[in-house]
Order: sequence, then structure tokens, then C-alpha cells
Amino acid sequence: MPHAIHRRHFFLGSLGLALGCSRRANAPRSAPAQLDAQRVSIVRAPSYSHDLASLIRSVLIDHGVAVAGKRILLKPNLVEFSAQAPINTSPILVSAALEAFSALGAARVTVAEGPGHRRMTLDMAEAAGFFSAIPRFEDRFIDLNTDDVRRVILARPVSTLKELYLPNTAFDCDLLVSLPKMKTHHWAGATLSMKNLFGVVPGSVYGWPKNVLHWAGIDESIADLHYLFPRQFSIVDGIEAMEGNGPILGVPKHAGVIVAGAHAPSVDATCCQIMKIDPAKIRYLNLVSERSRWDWQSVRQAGETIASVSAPFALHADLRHLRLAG
Amino acid sequence: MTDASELQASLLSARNADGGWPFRQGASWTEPTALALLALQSANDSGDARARAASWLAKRQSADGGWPPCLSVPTSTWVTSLALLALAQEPPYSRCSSGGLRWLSSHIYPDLPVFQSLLRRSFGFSPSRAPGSSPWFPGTAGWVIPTSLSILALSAWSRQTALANLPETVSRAQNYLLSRRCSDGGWNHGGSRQRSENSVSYAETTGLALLALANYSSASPNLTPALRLAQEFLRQPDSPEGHAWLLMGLAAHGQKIAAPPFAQRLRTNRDLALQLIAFHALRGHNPFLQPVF
Repeated sequence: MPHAIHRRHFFLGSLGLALGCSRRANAPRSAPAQLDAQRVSIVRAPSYSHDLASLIRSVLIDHGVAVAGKRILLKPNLVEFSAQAPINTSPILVSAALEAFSALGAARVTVAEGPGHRRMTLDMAEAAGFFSAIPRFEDRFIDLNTDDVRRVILARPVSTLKELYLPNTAFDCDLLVSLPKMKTHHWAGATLSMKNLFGVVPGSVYGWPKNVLHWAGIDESIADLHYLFPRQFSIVDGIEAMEGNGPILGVPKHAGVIVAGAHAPSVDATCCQIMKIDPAKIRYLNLVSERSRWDWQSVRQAGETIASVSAPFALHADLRHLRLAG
Repeated sequence: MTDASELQASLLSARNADGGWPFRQGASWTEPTALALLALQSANDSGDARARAASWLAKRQSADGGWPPCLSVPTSTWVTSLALLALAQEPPYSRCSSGGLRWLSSHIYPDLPVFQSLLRRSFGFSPSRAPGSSPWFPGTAGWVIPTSLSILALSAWSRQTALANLPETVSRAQNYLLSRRCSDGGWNHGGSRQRSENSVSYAETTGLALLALANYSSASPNLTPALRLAQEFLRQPDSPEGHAWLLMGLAAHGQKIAAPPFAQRLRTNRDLALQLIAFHALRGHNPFLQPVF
């Protein structure tokens, strides 16, 4: 199956190029090379018993991600003690990503996270199934909340932040792989690969929750963190997702997809459309759009079409205006 | 619970060459060092490690009176409470207290201006910088854990300081805690209820808040649901940290503790220190509730 997915991506990619990469009448603002970097894969994965490692490996090859000899940092979303509720990125998916990157010759694959509400990261990881899903998990894992930190100046901040103290581990890698859970979010609308980077901000400096980001503007801080880490790849766990009052109190939503790509805003905009949330109404995507000459409508999807996998995610009553029309 | 002498030995073996403690490995940080010092005090350790830990902490006090979380971050934060608590039992460093207490009390949010207070009463307006609460990081919202630790630190030093309005400040902070209880009677991190009205309590925050309310001075609040919830949490603790705070919180309220043996692994120096403190707290010696010297 992985090879079939690869061929389909290739076919769709070629078709897209033949058609001039344009999905709408008005010309996209981005150059063709950028468009390719912004390509997003949508792959069906009906359950966690699927061969996820092969699937991820195919996606990485398809996107031409340079893995051999590189130091890879996998950043899942770990929030709560539950192994059942779809709050955390599935440890099975994280294990599959680890296997895929290792198989492609990564020099080192580390897993790291800094949960935003609870301080006992390793205990949470154990309860959420990470120790049983990932061999030698404790040796591979760094708690970003308590890692040693360095000062980072924000040169052109979108938020009111001027500087952040961030964990050394987040910079001591060649590729940061954001592995979020696909969830609605009762303040930001949706929490995906960009919002997942809140987890790199250390609780031991800023607290639990990392309230300094809220005061600086949630959406603006999401955008700032995106720009701080230019070498990223995103793999969104949309197999068992969350709808309603996410990111913690929502309910399970089976979406059966993995969404991946090198450009986090494009991946997130694609996820929003799958969730039937209007990307134009997600403020952090708009902030990137304003700053980067990026247009979510010019993002090309490979593999499945958005229409074939989309299903409306229930939205918190206060956020129903985010619903994508049509 | 693991044997106290084993806990102490493990804690001592984890310290850095500079006399401080890392969370697990790496540089020394204020939080694990202060907790380790409190743990050594609870065990009546009078060795070199204790003296060096106290010295490490005293040297890290900033010019503004507070303590930063680690050497590479210059801003004073919530860890000031822990440093003050740890140095409360170290007479050579009493000089650190006046600046520390001043910093701490200035980071407990004051009462709201009249207009906001009216809004709060009339429309349930919930300010982020709620009166009596303390932030993790200066200028941000107040939360349950830093507020609880502020209460414990100010209370420990209350008999030794001339700081004005200290009992009122403590009382305001305790009232903040009471106002942030979840519907199940306990506490989580203490966010506003908007869009989180069904949030549930956490073990660690419930135990710590109970500890901070041990000497509540006003008419006794109804803490029965919180104490019952703490006992429930204790039957199946989700973490060593939660377990330790629950033991201390329940013991501080004179509750009979019938917990099954604790079987979870202690993975951080914070866990080791808190378990050691809880062990001695159950035997009547809790450094979080000890008045100065």
C-alpha cells in the first residue's frame, strides 16, 4: 500500500503541475517552488493498527525530506494522563514516526514535549501509553519544560513578545517534526501543528499554563513560534481526533486521516478544511498570510482530496462562526 | 512509600558539583534545589549538602529581592516562594528574607479598582489578575500553585517580618484559592471557568491548595468535598508529585490517611524531594508549615 500512495501522490503532483498548480481563478501569490514546499499530503488511515510506519515513510520520501544522517526531534502533543480520550497524540503514531525516520537513516531521533497544564511529564507519558508503545522511551525523551534553556530574541515579533527562553533541545536538531492531534480549540478555533509548538516553551520558566503566551496574544504567539523554527515537518494525527470543547474537554471524532507537509500553515489550513473550519477565520493563519505572502487557497493537496475525507467537527457554541461555508 | 533513607541517599547522589540540583540532569535550577533543601531539613540532615544547597540558593537571589528559575534566566519568578521557604530554616541566610518577602508580596495581586469590583459582583466578571493570586511569571495571570506557595512562604515568615498587612495578604490569597475550586470540590491549575466550566481537579493542586489552607483564619470554609476528593485521589495517585502533596494536604487538616503502598517510580529530583518531605510530614515535621527558625 505505501507504494500505491506514493504513485498516487506523484500522479496528483504531476497533474497539478500540468494544470499550472492553480485551484482557483485568481493567480496564487506564491512562486511555484514555494507552492511545492507548501504541498500537503492527505492520507487515509482508518485506525492505529494500520501500517503507519510505512505510510509515514512514503510521505517523507514523497516530500523529499532529507533524513539520512540528520538529528530529528519528534514533538507530539501530550496534555493529559488519559490513554483513551483523544487528547494526546497517539503514542502508536509517534512510535511509527520514530520507526520511519530511523528506517530512512536518521542519525538520531528524539521525542520531546513540554505539557502545558501538568508538571509530571514522564508520569503522564507513561499513563498515556508512551512507555509501552516506544522502546526505551525514557532514554529517547526530553521534557522540554525542564530542559536547560537559552535566550532567543524575536527579531520581528508578531506578538508583544520581545524574547523567549527556549529549551536547547528544540534547537539541537536538524528537523523539528510537529506531531499534533487534530483537535478543535475553544480559544484558537483549531489546535494543529502550529499551536503544538506551545509545547516547546518551558514551564519551568513560564509556568503551567504558559500564560505569558496568552498575554502576548495566543494567535500572535503561535505565529511567532512558527517563525522561530524554520526547519519543520508536520504530521497531524487525525485518526481519532477531537471535536467540540477541545483541546481537553471535547469528544472523540473519527476522522481517519493523517495530514502531513513541510509548511505548517499549509498543513493546518488543510486540516481546518477537513474539519469544516474556515481557514480564513483562523487568526494565526491570517497572521502568517499577512507576513509571508502565503495564501491558504493556493495550497495543493496530494493523495486524498479534502472533499473525500472532510466531515464537520462540532464547534463550541461561541465558535460556530468559524464554520466553513458549503 | 520507599524507605526514607533510600530517598535521602538518592537525592544526595543526584546533586550537581555546584551544590544545586537539576530537575533530572543538566544545570542546577532553583526549584529542585529549594525542594531538595526542604527535604534535607525535614530529614534533619545537617551535612555539607544542606549547607551548600542553602549557600547556592542565597547566592542566586537577585537584586530585586526575588529568585530567578535558573542561572540563564534573569527574571525573578514564582520560585521565590520556594527559596524563601527553604531558607526559612537556615539562620545564616535570614538576611535574604526582607527583599524576598517584599518581592513576593508585591507579586500578589491587589484588590480590584472599584469599577472592576462592581463588574465582578454584578456580572461575574473574572479578572485574570485576580485579587490575592500570584503568577508563575511576573505580569501574567494568577494561578493555584504559585498562589499556594506564596501563602506558605508568607505564613512561614509571618512572625519574623515587619512587612505591613501580611496577614491580610495571606487571607486574600486564601480567598482566591477558595474562589477557584472546581465543581468537584478540588482544584486544577485555576483558570477561569469560561469554556472550562466542566474542568476537573488535579491531585497535585488539590493537595497543595489544602496545605495552603491549613491555617485559614476566617470562618472555616467547607473543605469537606476537597478532603473527600483528596482521599479518592490518594487511592489511585497519578503521579509521585500528586501523591506527596495529597499526603501533606490531608495531614495538615488532621485527616486519617489510609493509602495503599505507593508503587510508582520516582523519576525526577522534584519527586524524590517531595516524597521525602511527605514522609516526614506524616510524622509531624512538615517544613512547608514550619515557622521561621
